[in-house]
Amino acid sequence: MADKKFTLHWLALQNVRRKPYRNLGLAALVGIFSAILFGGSILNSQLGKGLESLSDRLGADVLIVPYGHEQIAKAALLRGEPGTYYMRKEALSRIREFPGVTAATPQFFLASLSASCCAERVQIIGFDPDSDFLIRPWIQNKITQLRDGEVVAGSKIRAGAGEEIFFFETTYRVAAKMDATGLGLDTSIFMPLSALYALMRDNPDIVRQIDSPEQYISSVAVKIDPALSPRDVGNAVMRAYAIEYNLDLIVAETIVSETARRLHTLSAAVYWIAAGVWALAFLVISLIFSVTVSERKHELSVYRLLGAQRSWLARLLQWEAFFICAGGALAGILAASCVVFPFSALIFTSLKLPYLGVSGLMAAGHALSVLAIAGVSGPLACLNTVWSVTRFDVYNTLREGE
Amino acid sequence: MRNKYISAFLCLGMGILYIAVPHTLLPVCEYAETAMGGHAAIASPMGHSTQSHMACFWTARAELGLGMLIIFGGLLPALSNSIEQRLGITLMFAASSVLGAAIPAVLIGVCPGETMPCRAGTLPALLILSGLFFLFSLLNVLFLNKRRKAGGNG
Repeated sequence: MADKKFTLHWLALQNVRRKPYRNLGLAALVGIFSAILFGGSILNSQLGKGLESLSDRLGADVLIVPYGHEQIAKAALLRGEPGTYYMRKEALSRIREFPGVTAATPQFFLASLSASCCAERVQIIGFDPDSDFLIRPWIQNKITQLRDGEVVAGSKIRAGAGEEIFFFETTYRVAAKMDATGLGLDTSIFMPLSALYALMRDNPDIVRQIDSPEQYISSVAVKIDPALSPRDVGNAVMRAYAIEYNLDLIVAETIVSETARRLHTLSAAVYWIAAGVWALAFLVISLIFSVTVSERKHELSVYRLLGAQRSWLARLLQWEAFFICAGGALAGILAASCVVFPFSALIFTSLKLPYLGVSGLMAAGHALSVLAIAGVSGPLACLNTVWSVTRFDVYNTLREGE
Repeated sequence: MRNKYISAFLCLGMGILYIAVPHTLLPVCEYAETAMGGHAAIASPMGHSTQSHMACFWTARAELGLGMLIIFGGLLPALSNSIEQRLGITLMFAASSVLGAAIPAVLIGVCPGETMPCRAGTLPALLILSGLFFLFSLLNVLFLNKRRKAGGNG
């Protein structure tokens, strides 16, 4: 029974445990590398999925908003930061008739006040069911049409389908919930424009500056002929009507490319830092192993005298390096998981970027990749030392110090 | 002997974190709002100010009390040489860590909105802090129990 314990792995583990502080230090270094790589790759994946959702869900080629409200509109769309802005409706018919415009639909963005104690402000988006091409494609598999007093809720709105929601002293029934998008749509409530106008008429204090709500809209989402450049057509619309109707332009492609640029910057930073820490860890492991093997020459010579082959000694050292690195990597992945998963909402809200959660399978894939890289790095880092171990002379080593 | 000073130091740190997390490090909604220059009073649906507080405000208050208790409790083992007394106090810490997690998760709770500061920041931070404190208490209980059986003074 006792003989059974003396395996190569068991001996390697005992050797690792014999020098706890030194090996904990090495494991901590690998842990830092693993935490950065794993945490960074999870954040990148979440951001990548958010970007994918952004290009899928934007739907429109250009958005026309009131002049000076471009940033507010982007914040509402990307991050769900509630905002209220409006312009006269006359521009809508002129935009619809503009050459190159294939479809145009109005929306009204209204920020709720704190609906009740402990409830956050939400973005209420009124859409025109007749001309809409942004919201309906994502809810038509759930409901065909909204009845009076019904709304569609974003995925992060607490009320579920069939439940009631209360704001501006009016109770609405949630007819359906949208799937998670990672965008501001998740914290928004959607209702037909007619219902939103009725709500504003019943509560004139909501937007005091508006006397007749039906005359106002917040934005016009426009689809452009695929044969034409959205930016060119958008600019042409601006040249024609921007001054007359006080308009501003948001090109969807620009939002996507801006987000993609930030994703690439983040990815590059994460991978460069991880590569730097990996190089440092590799160097330190290599040096420490080289020094400790010199100290352990007597011990290793005794193994040789007891009949151990050189390849066995090489594998022993490599298993030691593997256990240190794998332990460090596991701890690093665990530590990073405690940060990136629970705090992803906080992280991306601070970065002002859209994100979507990753599946457990994808997270496990990232964890295994990091574990594999860290696990292989240890044995690789001590290859030089292992080679020298197979070269020293047992007789002379044991005679040293006599 | 070293163990009691290490545990006292860790308890002091944990107690301070229980107080600092919901108030300054990852503040709950009302403190976050105040820090950003807003005011703590809550607006009613039509904008009238009321005196009510959000649930997360009371969670922060409860964690303040718990944090002070942990700091006080953490000093006791440093003053005692009895393994049994320290074991008892450490078991109390394990129970306190469960309470530290239960206050924001079950007993009082935080605001419902997923992007609100208390739910996005304070809640996960308190749960992780409580998990670490529970782990530390558990390891210390095992260590002290081993010492008690060995008849040492830790």
